[in-house]
Amino acid sequence: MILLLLLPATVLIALIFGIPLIRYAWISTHAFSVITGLELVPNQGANWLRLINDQRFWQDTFQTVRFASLSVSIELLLAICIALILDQKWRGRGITRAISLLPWALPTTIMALGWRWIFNTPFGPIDQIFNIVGIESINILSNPNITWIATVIADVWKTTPFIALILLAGLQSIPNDLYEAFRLEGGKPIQAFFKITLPLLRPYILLAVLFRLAQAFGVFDLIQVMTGGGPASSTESLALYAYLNAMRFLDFGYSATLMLGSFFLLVIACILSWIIISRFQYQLNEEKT
Amino acid sequence: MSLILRNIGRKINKNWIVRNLSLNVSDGECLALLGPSGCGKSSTLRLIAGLDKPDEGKILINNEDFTNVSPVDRRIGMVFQSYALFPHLTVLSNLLLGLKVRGVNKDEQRRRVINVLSILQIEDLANRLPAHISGGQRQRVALARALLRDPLVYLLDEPMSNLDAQLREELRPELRRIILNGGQPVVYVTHDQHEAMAMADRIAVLKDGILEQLATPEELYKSPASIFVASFIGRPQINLLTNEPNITTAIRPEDIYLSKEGIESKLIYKEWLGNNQLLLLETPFGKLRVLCEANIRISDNIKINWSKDKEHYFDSNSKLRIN
Amino acid sequence: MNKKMNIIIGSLIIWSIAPLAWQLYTSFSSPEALVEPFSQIKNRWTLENYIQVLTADPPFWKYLLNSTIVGLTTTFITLLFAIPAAYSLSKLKPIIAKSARLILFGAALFPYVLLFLALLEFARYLNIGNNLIALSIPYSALSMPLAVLLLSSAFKDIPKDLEEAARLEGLGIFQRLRWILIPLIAPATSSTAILIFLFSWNEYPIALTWISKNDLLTLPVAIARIAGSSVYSIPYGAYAAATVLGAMPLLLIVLLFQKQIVSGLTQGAIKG
Repeated sequence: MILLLLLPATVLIALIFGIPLIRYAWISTHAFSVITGLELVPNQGANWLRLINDQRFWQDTFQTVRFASLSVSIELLLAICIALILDQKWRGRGITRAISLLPWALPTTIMALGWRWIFNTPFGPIDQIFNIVGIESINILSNPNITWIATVIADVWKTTPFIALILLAGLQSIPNDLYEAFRLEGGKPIQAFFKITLPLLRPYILLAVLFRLAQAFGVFDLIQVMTGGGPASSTESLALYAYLNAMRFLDFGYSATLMLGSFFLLVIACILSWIIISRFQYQLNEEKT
Repeated sequence: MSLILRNIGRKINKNWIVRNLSLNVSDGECLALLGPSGCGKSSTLRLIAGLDKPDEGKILINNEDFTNVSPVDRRIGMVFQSYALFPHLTVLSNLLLGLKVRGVNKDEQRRRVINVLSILQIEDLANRLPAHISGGQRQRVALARALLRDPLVYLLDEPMSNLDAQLREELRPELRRIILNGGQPVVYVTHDQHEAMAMADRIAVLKDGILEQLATPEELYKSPASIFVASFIGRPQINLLTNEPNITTAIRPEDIYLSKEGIESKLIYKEWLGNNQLLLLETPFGKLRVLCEANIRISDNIKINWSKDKEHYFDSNSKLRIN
Repeated sequence: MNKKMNIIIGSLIIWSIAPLAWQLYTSFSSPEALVEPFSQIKNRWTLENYIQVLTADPPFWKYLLNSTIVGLTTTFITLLFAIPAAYSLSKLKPIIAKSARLILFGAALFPYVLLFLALLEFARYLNIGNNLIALSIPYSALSMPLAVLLLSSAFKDIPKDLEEAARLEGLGIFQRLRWILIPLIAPATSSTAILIFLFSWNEYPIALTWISKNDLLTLPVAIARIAGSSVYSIPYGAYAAATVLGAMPLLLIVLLFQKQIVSGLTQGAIKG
């Protein structure tokens, strides 16, 4: 009876999460594109072979990892600061929290285009300010070495509040007694941060990093709308590449292969960051003893 | 017509928390389940309520087998230790909910709720939320809900433990009167021996899921069946003397008196209890607790005595009463 | 110290608002002002952008309506499925429940954009593209893991006594859900509902591939379509007006339901 209640949700989840992955595994071993007349033709792992030798795939992997790791680390650092501030009691805290939540609540596409305008050369405010201050104008959105940083900025702007809130919940779960006891022992606030706050915050940091890493790894909306993957594919992410393969090149077989490949890479990335953060805790413990 | 537990047992992860327990509670009788925490008294109550299923044995109510009847259909009036009032409903809605889902008709619902509210004198609370009334009032509402269940058996799980000591003593006679009024069997769980003695006709003392003794309060005190019961019942605790091989002799502190002739003893410690005082004495038999009148002046070296017929004897190995 | 703090808080607020404020500023700028944002010029201000957006075909409010329809049906379907599932999960044996939670957690983390191709095939196969109600099926499934996790921890927080008392009162499982349990998890339900609504309101890749009819587009897709043309021909003024209008409902939601959003996110963190 009780299990029966679980059934509808389980079926829906299996249908939307499970079946696609199985379907991808099937498609990825077939040629399946306009060339085959949209028929599935077995091709003995040719897709996977192509993936391994695909320069663009590895380039996009590098770019995706670069984007994800930089934006998640900046977000984490900023979020810790913001959470520490929001954890204090001061007037206007509630409204500040609401305001800082706003970027997170807005659809990515809305602000992706907004950022595109802000970074526009020569009409956007950034370039205008550069002009006024007397810095030579840099063409932010058409310089392959710089554009990806603009996407990181946009991502940091949007998702820092999310991490800050999770960390804030963590901060509020730490009993005040611990800090008071530590102060009575003669500890300084900075020491308290490293000896009490950070270790106890670890599960929350782990959660936030895993969550954000997975999202950043699948970054799509922001890139597609803000830069379209350009200039010269310099901001293209794995998800966008897979999307282009399906929707522009109409090569579904390879697109499915790319998505499964990305999925495997993501699993590896999550496991790695899990290990790193767990180790970090271990070292802190070692130091204490 | 009564509640019968026949050899019931329940185990969790291969450990028996209630084992081979048989009880018989007749109509209009209040039976207390007494014991330290973890003795299985609450588990037994849950088995009777049907909230847990016994791994062995049978539960009969009015000679009908209720062992496998769902708690939804079992007609049990239970008062929880936490009272378990629905926090989002007013007192009135708390009382009406059960009647409504059981299909009692509107007029009948009204009549019965008004009746119960007046029996428990809580008419004024009808529209309040449980969070906004006192602990004693919550207990009354919980009791009212149990009365409205029109139950075959009443179960009360430490119903007083969230109340302060004074209120508890005030409420005992009234609670006893109200629950026994309907003439159903009542099972009352408590860890407080005074409460058990005040409320119950008979007391079942449990230890580690096993019944140690089932008797009236007087019998429990006068002839405890085991060392455990002897130590558990009666305050201050009974003295245990082990100077004879294989036999433990027990003597209650209140049965020892000061005398001119008797056992030489030395006062170690003294505790004033109001109308009497508790002495801890060093004697040739070891340390003994003695209860004596408050106004006697105690010197450091005194003599004590007791009459032989106040002694209880237990087998040191089986821990059971001899004779 | 206090001054330093004020500066930090001030910059936090500016950092959060400035890009939005710039959109607002742009939305009232005339085409001449658009290319000279910091210069003194005549005819700086205009409502033309808003007029253009609201009188376009289909008018802008149509997209808002579409997003609202998808948002509401998704929220409804998700809760309808998630509440019983969450209750069931909170009653399972600890070992099974723990592994179920782990799977749900993994699914909640999953970057669902990777599913779009198979979901698109699914839509074509069943011929349910260009249907707002059908769109809420994948949306419900995608928000399901988080919803079940949040709600089941809310169920677990209800004292066991309450449900047992209800059973002894003669309430069957559906009566208990209806009268006792669902009312008691109302706060968690409302924060979950808002998170689901926000997700489906903002979802992009699936809507992009499922919906092609102009008057059925959801807001994020409609706005992104403007970017489909080349960088230089984007009507930024009108676009900014569209984003301001599109951001309004969310501004309202964030201000009104701030508490629920925060508790939804943080409950997820604490119990996760």
